[in-house]
Amino acid sequence: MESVHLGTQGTLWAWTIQGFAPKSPPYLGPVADGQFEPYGVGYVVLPGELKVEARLTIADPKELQEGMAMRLTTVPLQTDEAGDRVVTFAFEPMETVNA
Amino acid sequence: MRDVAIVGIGMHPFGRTEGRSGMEQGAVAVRQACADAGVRWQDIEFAYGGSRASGDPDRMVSMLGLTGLQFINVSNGCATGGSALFSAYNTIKSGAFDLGIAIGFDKHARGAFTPRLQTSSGADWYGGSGLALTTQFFGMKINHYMSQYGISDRSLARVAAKAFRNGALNPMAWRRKPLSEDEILQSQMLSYPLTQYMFCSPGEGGVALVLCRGDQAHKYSDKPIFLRTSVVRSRRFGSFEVTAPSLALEHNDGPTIDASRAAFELAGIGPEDVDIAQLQDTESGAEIMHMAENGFCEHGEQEHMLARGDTEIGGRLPVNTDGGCLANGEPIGASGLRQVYENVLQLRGAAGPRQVPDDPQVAYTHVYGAPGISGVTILTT
Repeated sequence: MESVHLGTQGTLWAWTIQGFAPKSPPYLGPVADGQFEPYGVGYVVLPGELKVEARLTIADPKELQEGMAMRLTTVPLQTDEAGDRVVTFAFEPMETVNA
Repeated sequence: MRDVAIVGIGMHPFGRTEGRSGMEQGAVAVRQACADAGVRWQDIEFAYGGSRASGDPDRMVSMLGLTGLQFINVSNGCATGGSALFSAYNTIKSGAFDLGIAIGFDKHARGAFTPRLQTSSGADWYGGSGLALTTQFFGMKINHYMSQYGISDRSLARVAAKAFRNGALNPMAWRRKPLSEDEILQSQMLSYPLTQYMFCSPGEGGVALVLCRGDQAHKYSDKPIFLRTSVVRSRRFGSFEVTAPSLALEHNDGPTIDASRAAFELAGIGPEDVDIAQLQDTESGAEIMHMAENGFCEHGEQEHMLARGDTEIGGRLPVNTDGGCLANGEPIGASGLRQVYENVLQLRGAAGPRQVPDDPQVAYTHVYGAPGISGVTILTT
């Protein structure tokens, strides 16, 4: 196995919104009533490389559109027992959708 | 080469049966199938059995009788039932044995299946990040398909409403209460654009099918049904499958298209000849996509077919006449055999209030599931 650095920008290929709290574990984010917030999930095409599955920063169907330009960021999951902030990778739109 | 016939069918009701193990439900199905064929358990020469969560199927000989028969366990994800049937089909076709049984049963806990992928470090970053849910794959695939081919949310609701209507006519089904399209659309959004009532749930149930060589079929049944082909295909590079942290840029047709084409070719039958189809409907969008992937229409034609009622009982191509996975739930080991059970009933003309009219002659089944596997069968009278 060899590590490869992938690009950080691409286009949205397919998406959904996770509308219910996943089982925890394994999910590290908040799941309690009133704490869970729906989040976007999608595949982003990284040109010349692959499509990568990731969290999206947007959870509103009206603000997501296939083909829109996306860039890499992070989203918070939890603060662990040592007090460290646990984050995961995510993609955010580089422009807003013209409805 | 010999023909292979299905001469006995048995089923334990799907849904939730407290106090009865999955294997016991399988044994109920076996006894019924033997009785239906007019054979005793000690007449059965071989068995293939599949279960994901209810123990090694060959242990059921302690419930059925220690006859010493050849009993082989099959484990192949969502195609477990199809794989048991493929194995039984070829065992008879090859001449190794004349009379055998394919068995599938399961009993799953409530809630969505959540596969866990561990990295070499042991950390589950994938599930930990809130990915890895099978429901997300189904939402993304149908959302992408709908934007490509102009399928509406109303079509998703039509499929689910049909499933519950058909389920209401099926005494073996789990969900037997019809729901309106609006109730389905307004239920909780689980994975956009799919709502709660558009998804099937893991469940319980058991099915068994007695098979024999075709030239002996009339010994066991007045109306033997012939298994023309049974095909299982796995995914190829570039296909879009459940729980994939990444996908290739190249896009390849999934295993359903491969399995379907192979089955039609082997059977010498075309999609236009099929009178009734049971298609994997893990969620209602899957049924829509699988109509095209199995060759029954062009991509996008489903919108009008559903509006016209083409896939209703009594329509041009009835689909999921027993209510499918949506109304029956999905006990993984039993699900594919349930479809074949329904088709045998329909081809016998014994499906009661949900009988497809005009004496159907050719029936098709299709399962799809993790990690990218499809199974197809074609039955004829």
